[in-house]
Amino acid sequence: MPELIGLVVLLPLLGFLTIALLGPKMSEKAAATLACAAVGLAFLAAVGAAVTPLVDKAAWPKYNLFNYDWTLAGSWRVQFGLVADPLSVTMALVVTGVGFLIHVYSVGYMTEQHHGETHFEKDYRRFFAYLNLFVFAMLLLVTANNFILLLIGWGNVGLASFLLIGFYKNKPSAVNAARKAFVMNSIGDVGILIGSFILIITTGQVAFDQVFASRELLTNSEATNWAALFLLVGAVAKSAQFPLQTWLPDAMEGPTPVSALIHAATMVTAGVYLITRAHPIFGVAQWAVIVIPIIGAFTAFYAATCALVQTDIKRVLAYSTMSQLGYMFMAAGVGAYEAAMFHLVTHAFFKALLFLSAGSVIHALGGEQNMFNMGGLRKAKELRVPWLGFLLGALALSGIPPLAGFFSKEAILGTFPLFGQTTSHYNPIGLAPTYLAIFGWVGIITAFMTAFYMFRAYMLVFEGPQGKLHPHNNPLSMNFPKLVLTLLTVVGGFLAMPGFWNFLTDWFKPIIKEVEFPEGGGVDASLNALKANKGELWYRIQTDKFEVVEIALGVGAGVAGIVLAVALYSYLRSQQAKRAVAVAAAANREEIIRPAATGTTRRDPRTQTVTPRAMSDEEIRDVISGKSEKRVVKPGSRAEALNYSDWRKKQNTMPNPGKLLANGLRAFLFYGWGFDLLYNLLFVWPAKLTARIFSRWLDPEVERAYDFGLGGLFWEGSKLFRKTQTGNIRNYGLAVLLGAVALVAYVIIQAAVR
Amino acid sequence: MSDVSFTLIISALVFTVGACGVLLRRNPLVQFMSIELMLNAVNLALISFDGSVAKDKGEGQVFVLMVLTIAAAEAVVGLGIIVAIFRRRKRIDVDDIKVLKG
Repeated sequence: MPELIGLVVLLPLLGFLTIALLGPKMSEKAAATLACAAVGLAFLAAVGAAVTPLVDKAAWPKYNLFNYDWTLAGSWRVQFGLVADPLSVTMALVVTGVGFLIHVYSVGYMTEQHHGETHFEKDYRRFFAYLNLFVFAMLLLVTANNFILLLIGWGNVGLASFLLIGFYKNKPSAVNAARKAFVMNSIGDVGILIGSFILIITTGQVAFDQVFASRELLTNSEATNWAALFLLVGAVAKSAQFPLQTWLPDAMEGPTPVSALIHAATMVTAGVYLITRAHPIFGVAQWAVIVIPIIGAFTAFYAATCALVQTDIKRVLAYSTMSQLGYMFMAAGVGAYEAAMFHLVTHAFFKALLFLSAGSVIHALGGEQNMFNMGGLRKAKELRVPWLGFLLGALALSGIPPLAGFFSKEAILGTFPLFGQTTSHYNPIGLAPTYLAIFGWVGIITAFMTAFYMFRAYMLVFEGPQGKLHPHNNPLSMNFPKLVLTLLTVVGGFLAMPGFWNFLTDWFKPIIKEVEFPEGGGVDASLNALKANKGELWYRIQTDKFEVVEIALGVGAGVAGIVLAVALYSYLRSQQAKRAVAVAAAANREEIIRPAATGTTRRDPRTQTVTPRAMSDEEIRDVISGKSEKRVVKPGSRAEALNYSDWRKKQNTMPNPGKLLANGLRAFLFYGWGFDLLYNLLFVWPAKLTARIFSRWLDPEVERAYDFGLGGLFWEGSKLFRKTQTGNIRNYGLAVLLGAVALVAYVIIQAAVR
Repeated sequence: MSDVSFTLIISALVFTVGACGVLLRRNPLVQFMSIELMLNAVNLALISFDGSVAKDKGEGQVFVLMVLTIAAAEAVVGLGIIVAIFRRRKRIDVDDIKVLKG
């Protein structure tokens, strides 16, 4: 029943329209129920469409469902149609499935329980309306069968992302983040627009199957190259890859369900979907085979380095998403689309799980997002489910078998042989084995860093001494989706086990065209083979060969990262504990003056400290000049635990260059390698300056010119003309006479000339 | 100079005198007399053409009859308007009617 895909797209749209138009008349509960039901039923419809190959083999895949003539201009015909093929149904299942779970989660997340009475978040209904809008737009994007409908969905997911990031519309940081995301997505929109236009103009067709099959496209390599470039710009913007990646960490200003849905599982995967959908274009554009993996590998590495030093738990997850998308781009670039899609699906599961768990923690702590303020939450029995979810999600992300992440990550890492061996079944087109090896090693290093930062986050949040905050309970609506996702994370990997069986190849078979590569390889022969087969470059996850080396190294990197993180953070925590003991001991010494945080003047008898206000002027002068034996210490700093002589020694030493370097490196990584600053300088600052110049100096001049120039012309002109209206009859008579004379003269002269 | 030219020059001169009278005199009755002058100058021109150029056709004479009739009718209407206007005002001066001044 591939027609059910129409229902998949329709139901969230109806949900959105109903909540948007009838919202004020509904209760909050009704709006939430409607939204969840819309997406839930859409999921069931997607499942129905997915079982078509089992039920009715002939009707699969179907490319032109619900064709509705939109424009008919001469011979150019644009129809709004949907496609039900393995790719779109996979994406639809992911979007509706994960979307449904997140809708249910949001029911709990957006409410607060105060002493037994439920207090809904402000604009509760608006949130669900926007969520449904997003799901509709994303489904439109993935089920479109032509470029125009794809563009509609593409633009709308950008809009929904903007609305949802800026959901807390009175918070300036959220609004700025939303605007930044939208502007960067607009750059991508320009890219995909131009790319689509090139394709449409070259081939005269709009639907995917007709565009990719047209003869004009294959012969015109210049058009395909440019089209691939522009489409890539679009994909890069949407998936937050370098160089359009700065919006994703800031997009965490939105509520956590938004981050989970849009910026982990679905919207950011639209770029990967586009590359997979348009793979004939990218296959023929030979430069794409190397540029896309370069972008992906660089972004994966970059994001992993940035995630190492973040303090906000959601930013860690955002950079992690960026990194995993880099992996998907690496795979999709060389043609391993099955691996990329497999990783997309499993990543959606465990990343959504991670985000929801993090959101539970944040919600339970009353909005605290800084990991350094959390700690020891494993012991809190209210947070059992989030703890389990986060742990399993982190393990999956690190690639530990038998969780889902292991299988998909190994599928990708297996595409890049590490020691330059030519895997005969992958037969790289135009890519020398050295390049593949470089990508492979970048992947391994990034996997190590991934495991490290995830477990750094885990240790900071869940292990160690209990922090200052006390968590409160999580409602069932939040726990249930996490349990489902945990289950999926554990079993979801078994879709394709390299070396044993590969369900994905059979699933994607209807859209794969077999390409016969000549034996012995060689770049030219392979290129000719590709061109002859219309650019189809689709590698399968192999089941006959088991890439032992890459898999072992991948898992090894993950395990090493975990071990290192656990060891390091256990060590750091123990140091912190020892320092706390020393601080408590130091508190009894009279030589420490702690500046009071709030400026109270109370003398604290327990610690026998004095605040500066309680000191006399001479004492204060002595302390500042260094003559006194007392010293001022920032509470919580390492200096607090030192005794006086050690402290004096520290005061007299030069700054440590190693420490300076470390702090500098940390700042560099914390601020995303400075790209925010760079873009601010290059683009934002000139734009703001131009706007200020125009609005303050040039526009008023223009207004004045219009007022006194053009307006003045009419003003004076009318004053002049008014003089003819004298009201004097004799003047009017004169005018009539003169007119008559002129007329007669004209006639006479005409007659005389002729 | 042919006959036609002679009478045409006279007609033109009389017309000019009439036009100047309309423009320069302030008494409405004198203006009316000047208008009659203009109309009769036109009649003269028409008759002279009828006598010389368009001989045996009789169109000029018919046209002159119509012009005369219209002149008479116009004089009646105009004099009626003048009487109506100047019943209100005491002075007889065309320059006083400046209602349309703007």
